[in-house]
Amino acid sequence: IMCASTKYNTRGPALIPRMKTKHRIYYITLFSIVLLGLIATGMFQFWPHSIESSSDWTVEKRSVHDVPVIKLPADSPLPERGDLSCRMHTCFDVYRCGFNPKTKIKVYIYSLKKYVDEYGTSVGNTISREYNELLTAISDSEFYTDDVNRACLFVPSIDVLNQNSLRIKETAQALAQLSRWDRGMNHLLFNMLPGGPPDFNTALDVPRDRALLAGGGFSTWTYRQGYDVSIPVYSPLSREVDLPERAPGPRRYFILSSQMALHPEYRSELEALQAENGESVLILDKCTNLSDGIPAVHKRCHKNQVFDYPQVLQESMFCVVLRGARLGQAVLSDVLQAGCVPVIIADSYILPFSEVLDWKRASVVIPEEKIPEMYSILQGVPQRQIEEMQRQARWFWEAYFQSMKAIALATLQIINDRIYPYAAISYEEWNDPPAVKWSSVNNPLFLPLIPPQSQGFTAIVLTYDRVESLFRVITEVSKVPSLSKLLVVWNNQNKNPPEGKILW
Amino acid sequence: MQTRKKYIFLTFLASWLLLFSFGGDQLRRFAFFSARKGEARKIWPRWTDRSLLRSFADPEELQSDGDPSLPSPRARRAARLNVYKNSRCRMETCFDFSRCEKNGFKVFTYPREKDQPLSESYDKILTSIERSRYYTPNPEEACLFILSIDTLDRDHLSGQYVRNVDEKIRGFSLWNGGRNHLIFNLYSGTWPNYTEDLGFDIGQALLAKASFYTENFRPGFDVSIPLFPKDHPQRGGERGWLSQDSIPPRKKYLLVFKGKRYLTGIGSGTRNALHHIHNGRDIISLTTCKHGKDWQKHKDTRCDKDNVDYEKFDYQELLHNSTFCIVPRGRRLGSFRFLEALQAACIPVLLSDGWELPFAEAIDWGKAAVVGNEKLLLQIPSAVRCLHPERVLAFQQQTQFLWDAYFSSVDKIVHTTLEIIKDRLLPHRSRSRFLWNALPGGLLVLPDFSTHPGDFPFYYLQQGSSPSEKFTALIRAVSPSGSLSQTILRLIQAVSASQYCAQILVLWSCEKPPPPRGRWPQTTVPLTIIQDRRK
Repeated sequence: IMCASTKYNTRGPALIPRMKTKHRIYYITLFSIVLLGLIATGMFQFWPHSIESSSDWTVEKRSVHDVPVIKLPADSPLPERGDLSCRMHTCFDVYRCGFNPKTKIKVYIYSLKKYVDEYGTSVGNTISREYNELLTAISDSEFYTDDVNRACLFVPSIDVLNQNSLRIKETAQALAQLSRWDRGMNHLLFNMLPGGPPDFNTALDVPRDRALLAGGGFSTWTYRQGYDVSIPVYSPLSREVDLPERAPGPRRYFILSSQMALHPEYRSELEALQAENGESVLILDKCTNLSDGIPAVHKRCHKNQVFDYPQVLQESMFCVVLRGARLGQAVLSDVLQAGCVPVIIADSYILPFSEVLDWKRASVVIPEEKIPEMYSILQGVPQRQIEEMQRQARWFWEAYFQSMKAIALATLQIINDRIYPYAAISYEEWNDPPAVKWSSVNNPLFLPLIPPQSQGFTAIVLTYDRVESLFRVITEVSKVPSLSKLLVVWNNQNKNPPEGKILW
Repeated sequence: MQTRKKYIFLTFLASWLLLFSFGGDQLRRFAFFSARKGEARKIWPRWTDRSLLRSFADPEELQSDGDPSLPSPRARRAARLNVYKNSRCRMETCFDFSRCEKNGFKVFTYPREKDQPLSESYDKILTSIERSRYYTPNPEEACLFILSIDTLDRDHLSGQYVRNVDEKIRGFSLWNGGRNHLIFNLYSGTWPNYTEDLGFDIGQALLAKASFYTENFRPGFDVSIPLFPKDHPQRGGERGWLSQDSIPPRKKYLLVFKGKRYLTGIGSGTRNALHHIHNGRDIISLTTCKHGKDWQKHKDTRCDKDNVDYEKFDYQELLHNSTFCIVPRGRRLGSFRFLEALQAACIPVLLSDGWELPFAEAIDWGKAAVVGNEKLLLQIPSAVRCLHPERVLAFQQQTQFLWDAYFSSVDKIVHTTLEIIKDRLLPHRSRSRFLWNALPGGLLVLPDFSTHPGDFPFYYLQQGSSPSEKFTALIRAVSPSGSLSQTILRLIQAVSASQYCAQILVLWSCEKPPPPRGRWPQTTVPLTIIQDRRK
């Protein structure tokens, strides 16, 4: 490089004047052509970037009420009920996902429509605030594609978050007429409140054929392991109330229950606990004598005492999350936000994102029949572990419960990990708070290795004073071929071990 | 002059080429965009009235989700017991927890019958249980029961198939519809479709089975175990083959397979395709058609050439010298190959759709194996090629840890099965996934002692914590007189004077109870006296 540059410096400037006119014109033309070419190439290189970021992504500004209306004939086809035997290798078409170096699945979102039945009555709420947030998050993520032909996963814009706010048969018909429905193959539905009175099914009742379900409140009998995704029930309260993180440590109460509509049987069991253990257990209930202006959802009462909800959750070490009519409860999200360790009492409940999250590090699960023993069970958890759990609970909320965006992205990541398992996110990345850096700096040289391969034993010699016999032992032992190391423990405090290499 | 011209020309050409090669990707994309001009890329609309949208559920509905008019929880639990049986069994519906409450987790094995020969493997399993800390010879105090009938091989064409199991079971007074029974099985079903039916009614018993298909697996109830050969050692077991200096982690071959190719029947789809990825250099995939008695009848054009190639390589040599090993399904989902690859630190690439991996309830297989998809065989070479060397090394080390912790002997396999079941009895006192998947493994971490990683020194490095500077003094008193001797008193005083002493524990192993609190010396550090109950 040095040589080349000096050459150009000394001879370069003199190059053009020394040439003949004919040659000069020839060179100038050549120069300008090449220069133009270079500029053009340079522009090509940077131009598409700007297209991608601004002008090519058009943002529509419309009202939800202006979306096209689709009329569903009464006899339009109905999908089959969900197939309980579905697994990724039987009901999912992996060929659509293909192999790509980024190992990211492509997700397509159907455009929003308003569905009405033959008589013009609406099938359900067009879209809820939360579902809009969820779709916006997917659309902004790197999973998104607007090209239906390249998509691997399809997300309908039909909002089924809450089963109570939709008409089951008509919603199913609306799903079946989606352009790429194909028996629900590679379609993903999000539902947080499944089932309805009186039996409250633990999965969405809308017939959905082979579609994957991201559901809040699965039981072990409706959850198709490795196919469905268990998600939390989002608590809109966390948007309104900001609970700053509290340092882990002891709290005023040991056990707190804040749910309002507990079954009387559970409530009496909890109250028995309170009677037994006094002040450290606090069982709250709905306030009955509030003045009109105050919203009941932000207050809880115990006898005449009024507490702010969810702030009161930060005053306790353990917070009870009992099942209601449904297994998934929004209070779990509030409890985690408060950094309170959830005590989950809901038999057969599949915890949110249980495929990847290690809930034993952030919660205590107690069988429903053991409620009377809850106090002694929790007493057995060591203090240091409780602090660890408090930290972990808060971290789970921040990473996976906080917003619809967090829930949507975690769900897609789980499905992505199943399709590209060799590029999957590890246990540590899912479960360790980012502050804990020690675990990510795994230098390959220091990865844990299994017992050393070298054969042989280590001899440990305990000695007090008798140096001579010690030396004899050492010489004898060192003759053994399989000896790999010799350790002498000097037990004499009054005397230092003999020094110097020669002696040994 | 000529040379100068040439130089200038070359310089420009080179810089142009460079720009093209860097900007080429964008250029290609540009061409793609211009083709679709007019239809701009669409994202989800930002609705003008999005802030006015209604929430999916109002707070009242979310917070008071519990209709008091519903059946009482107790009634619901009772009703559940009748609904969720057999193929829908779960611990809470098919397992009697009350049996384990009084005496803890105790395992009883039925007495072995003289006239009933046991297979070598089942004999080892029973021996492992009898050597376990949970064994009890007394059925009264047992929580889990193990049959003495060999149920490992349920292929009725096999010589070890035991007939009339149903009849025999009916004769057992302890059977109780299979409640709290654990049944071990390695092979189920037979040609041609190898169903997972065991050929007798298992009732409500738990199943510890190899080659489990996810659809038949009852999560949280059954246990998937690995298929192990009959010469698998009872205890101890061989080490893994990864030597400490295996850096860089890549070995001579990238990916290998050597095995049978089924010409017809179940599993042939996967095995028939394997030869496609063979490239003769770093990917060796060898198949033979020689299988069964009538292979000649089904043989195709490839067979003769493949059979010749097959003999050129040695299975053990390939195993030792490859980074990844393909572990495809056989007739059944699991194969011996899986454990062989694991021991050899040859990262298993699983092609066995729907296989519930061994001990998946506890073990995180994503760290030790590449779970492939039978349909995407052709993607496997590029997928494993793209893995970073440090990831490969981490995979290799995890295979060695798992082999050593859970698979290297029958004892380990059986004890892991028992520990997984025991962990379900007290969910609040069970191992987290972290404890199962980090050195030294779940068998050495007893939740009865602690479930907190901070209490075990082996996690210090991973947890970033270090041992405390202080020590705990443990004094075991065995004086026959039962009185406080001067020696103990002096020892306590001397030890407590140390600035590094955190606490003193006295283990009182005498016939007589320890002296009352007041007679012990006053110390600056906490002094705890534990009375040894056993002696």
